[in-house]
Amino acid sequence: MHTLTFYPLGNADSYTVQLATGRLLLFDYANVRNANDDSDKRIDLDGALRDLLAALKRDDFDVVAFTHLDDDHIHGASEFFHLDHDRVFQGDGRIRITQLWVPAAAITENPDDLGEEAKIIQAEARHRLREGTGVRVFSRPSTLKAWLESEGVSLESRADLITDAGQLVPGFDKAVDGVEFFVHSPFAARHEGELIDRNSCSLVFQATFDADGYETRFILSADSPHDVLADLVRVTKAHRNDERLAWDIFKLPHHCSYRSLGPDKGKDVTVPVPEVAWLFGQGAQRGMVVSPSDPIPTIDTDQPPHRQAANYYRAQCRLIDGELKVTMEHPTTTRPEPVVVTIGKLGAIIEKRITAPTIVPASRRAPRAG
Amino acid sequence: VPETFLDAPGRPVATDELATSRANELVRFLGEAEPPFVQLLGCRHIDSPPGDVTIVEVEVELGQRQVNDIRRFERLAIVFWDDDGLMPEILALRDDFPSVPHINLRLVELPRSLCLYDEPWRDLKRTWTPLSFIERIRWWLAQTAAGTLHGADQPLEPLLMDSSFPLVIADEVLQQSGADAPELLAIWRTGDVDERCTLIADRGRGDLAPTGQQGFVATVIHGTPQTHGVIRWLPATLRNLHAMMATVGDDLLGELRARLQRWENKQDLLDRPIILIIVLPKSRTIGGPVESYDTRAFICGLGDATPCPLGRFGQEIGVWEVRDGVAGRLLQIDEAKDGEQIHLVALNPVPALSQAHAARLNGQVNVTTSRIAAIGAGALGSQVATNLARAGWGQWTVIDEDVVLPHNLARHALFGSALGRAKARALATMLNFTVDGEPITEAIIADVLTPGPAAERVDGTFRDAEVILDMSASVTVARYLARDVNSAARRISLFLNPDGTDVVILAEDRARATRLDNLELQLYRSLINDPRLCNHLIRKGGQIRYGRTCRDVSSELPQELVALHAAIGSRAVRNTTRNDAARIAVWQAHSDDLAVDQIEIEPADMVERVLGEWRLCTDRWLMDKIARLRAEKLPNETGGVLIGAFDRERKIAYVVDTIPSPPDSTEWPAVYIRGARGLRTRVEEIGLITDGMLGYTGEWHAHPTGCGVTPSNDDRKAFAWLAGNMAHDGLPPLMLIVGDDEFGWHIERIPEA
Repeated sequence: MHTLTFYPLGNADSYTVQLATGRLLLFDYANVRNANDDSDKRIDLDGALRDLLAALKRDDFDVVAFTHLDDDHIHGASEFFHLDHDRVFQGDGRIRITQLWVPAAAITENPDDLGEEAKIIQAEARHRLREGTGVRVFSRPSTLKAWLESEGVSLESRADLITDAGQLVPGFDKAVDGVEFFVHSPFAARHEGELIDRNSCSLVFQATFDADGYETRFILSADSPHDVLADLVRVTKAHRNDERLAWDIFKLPHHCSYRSLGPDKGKDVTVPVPEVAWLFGQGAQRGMVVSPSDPIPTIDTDQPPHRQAANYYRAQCRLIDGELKVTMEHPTTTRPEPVVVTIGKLGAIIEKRITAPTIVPASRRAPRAG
Repeated sequence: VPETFLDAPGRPVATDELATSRANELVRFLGEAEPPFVQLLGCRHIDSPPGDVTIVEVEVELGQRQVNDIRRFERLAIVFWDDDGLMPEILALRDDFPSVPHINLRLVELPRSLCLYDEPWRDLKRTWTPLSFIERIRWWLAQTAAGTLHGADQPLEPLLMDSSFPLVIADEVLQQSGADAPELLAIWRTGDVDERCTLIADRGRGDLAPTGQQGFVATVIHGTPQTHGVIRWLPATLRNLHAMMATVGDDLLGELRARLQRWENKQDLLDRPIILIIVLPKSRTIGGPVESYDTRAFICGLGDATPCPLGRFGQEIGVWEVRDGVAGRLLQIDEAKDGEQIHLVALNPVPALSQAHAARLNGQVNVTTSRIAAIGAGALGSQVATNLARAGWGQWTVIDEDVVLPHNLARHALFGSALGRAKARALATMLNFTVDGEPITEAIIADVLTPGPAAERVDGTFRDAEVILDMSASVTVARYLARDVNSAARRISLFLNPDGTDVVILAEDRARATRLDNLELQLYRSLINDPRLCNHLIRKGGQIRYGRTCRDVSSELPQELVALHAAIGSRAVRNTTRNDAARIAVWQAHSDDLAVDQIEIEPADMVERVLGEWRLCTDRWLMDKIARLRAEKLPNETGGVLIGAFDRERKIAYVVDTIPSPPDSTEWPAVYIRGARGLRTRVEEIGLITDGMLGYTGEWHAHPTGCGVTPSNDDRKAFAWLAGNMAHDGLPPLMLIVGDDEFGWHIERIPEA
């Protein structure tokens, strides 16, 4: 059995993929909780991941993927991980990364355009690529070649560390590991523009899990907007890879933003562009859509999540008897907990446990006592 | 597909009108804790029998695929009875809720009632909480959806509802197909009216049946294998039973008609009521292997609650007409007579405890039918025999001449009902009552030492036995069995020490190369050499026992200790008889908490020499020890004192140990003068530890290399000195001369020069 765990972090992403073989992957790290605010319902990600690692008796992840370098996907990463490129980020119980996954843009962006945290992650990715170990870069735009050459390294010498869209990620074999990752994004066309739009150059995969001969498909989308998704659908169809967009579990892009569906928010329901509508029509019976976001508001908001987008996803889920799971609403808005999805021969199952009332005080700080 | 729901029982009430504390707790939990995945939809009240109903909708953890049709949201009515002794009932309100395993059988099929727990409610009440209850319901639904509620390692569900009337019946009756002949059964009811009605069927052992038994004719029918899952109601008539079996292709009526036609000439059976025994094989999956059987017996009756005799039965299934007590076969089966008039009262056949069944229940793969001659049916003997017989082990003959007296009852396998009866016979009767089938125990009321008129039976028993198991608590009996009984049977002794803290097994090897009496002496040797055993024969307070031939145990001894040692002893007998080797083992119980230590003593091979009228009985251990002592002192001579015992009656000299050369001895190449320092103290100590079972028996000394073991003149003088001393006690002189790999033993006489 494989396990996905989506952490409730408001409008921020972080989830683990735990394979039946024991291999452990982390997609994004955003420890956004305000530790000084007891009313902050977001999870203490640092603590939660350390608990998980302790339970598994390990101090590392086999893979940590940063889908792109926006703060809501990397926040606090430089305080949590052991980074090879600078001793400042080493020791003190920091968590090691065996293999770092980044889009090429994370290497090639101008550091001056990046925030402090993003600069550190970029430095680490660049260091690993320079050293030729412990990293996998997705797509090979000309800017990547140029950067490598400026570092005195040829693109060819790093070819085995670079994976392009339309390929399977090396090192994961469905027959051996029980999973394979098909790379959808970034795809080449996206990179050649003048300005790098990070959301357009972020990582999108389809993972296909095998459990006792039964397959379960999981779309891991970063923060792709609708036009990127539409391009992605067109490219995939052109290559007759339609089944690579089938899904049982869909991790929504951009915290349930209408922008990932279409250009207009809509009054009550966002109408997606045709390609995106097709994509969300690929869900299997009882499939599930996970929105890593704040609770869906009942009123109109500028920032995601947008209720109109949620209404579209809900309607879509109804068609397949599926569920929209919002991380900050599960199991309740008052006490969110990680969304745990197990993948076995019955397909994907969302764990639904009622936390014992006696556990609640033990899992929170006690109120101040006189 | 829109869901429609059945009405919950009772009438609507407000939440504050709920009467039962559990319903109130549940409502409070749902209202205050606001748990996810469960929602209160309403409350109701049932007036008779009084109870509260809470209607909830739960969300179920579902996979994308599922085995049974459970929905993500299920509506349930939970009934809490005013009488809290009754388990709450959980009713699934969705009108198409599937028929799945672990649904309670109710008088009406819908709404279905979930069987949440396999423990009794009285055990669950203690830890019941609203949360655990809701979670159990949601777990039940999730597991049912996944098809995993019934574990792959769990026994199969019954095909038919249980009958509340057990019918104890011999296993063989259930096993045989029964097609050839009708089975005659005597059936009687046990117990008083306030005991659960239990029927006991017996064939052929009428002597056990109380009066009031009724003769039945029975026939056994095996059905086609079915998959388990949904429990069905018991059929009320033969026609219903036929219809039920027809669903898997069995033709019950056809089979019964064919059988009755074959029984037509058995006119004497026509008046006997008939019992149908139906054996239904069950498999876990369609076409899977048969894992177990459901067996139901049906007493056939007529509408007026009278039993249906075979004659009438044949008429009702259209086989024959009975006129003037004679069955006249119809030319053609009357198909219209389909058993509708035959009413069925279901019984739950329970196989009687056969020897094989007893073995299985004791975790034994096979029964052991070795013939065991058991001597002694006292506290230990009766309990050991009971343990083993109940495990399907052994075909027993119990020999004991004693009768059960009140003081025996404190520590005996038998109870007050046996007071005044011969122990052997009462024990045999009890064991034969316990294990169904051919008797497994015989009794001989006799003292093996003086069997009198039973001598022939006792001799025959010993001759035919594979094991003679001495539990007589008597050294005399053990020695008699070892030396004076003509039988190839392996001898095994089981006894307690005087304080009852230790239990000992002495077992000969299967070839009887080392005899029981020799093993007994080897045990004594261990008492003087192993500090753990030095108190084995010493009673609390250190006082020496007066009687020396009887292993009589203290009159104050807890039954717990006897039960413990009987358990250890019976297991030891079972384990030991599986191997060929001889064995000496002691288990010591701490008298306060009964924790047990085991001491295994490696038996040495017995060595015997016939010397004139005497038989010398020793073993390799002693001879090796003496050879080693000699070798250590070469080229000088050395020697020492022999420790053992004399059986003057049988003229056996046992030698089992030596006290090595005392420090004040003279040890020269051609001279040995045994010193005496410390010798007496040690001899007395040995006598104390072994309760006089071991003592001084003679002298040994070494001859130098190449000198042989022929007695020298000095040796003969020493022998004469020894003879003079021993004669005071009526004992023979015993001298051993040890050379290179040579042992020269001399008892009573020594060769002249």
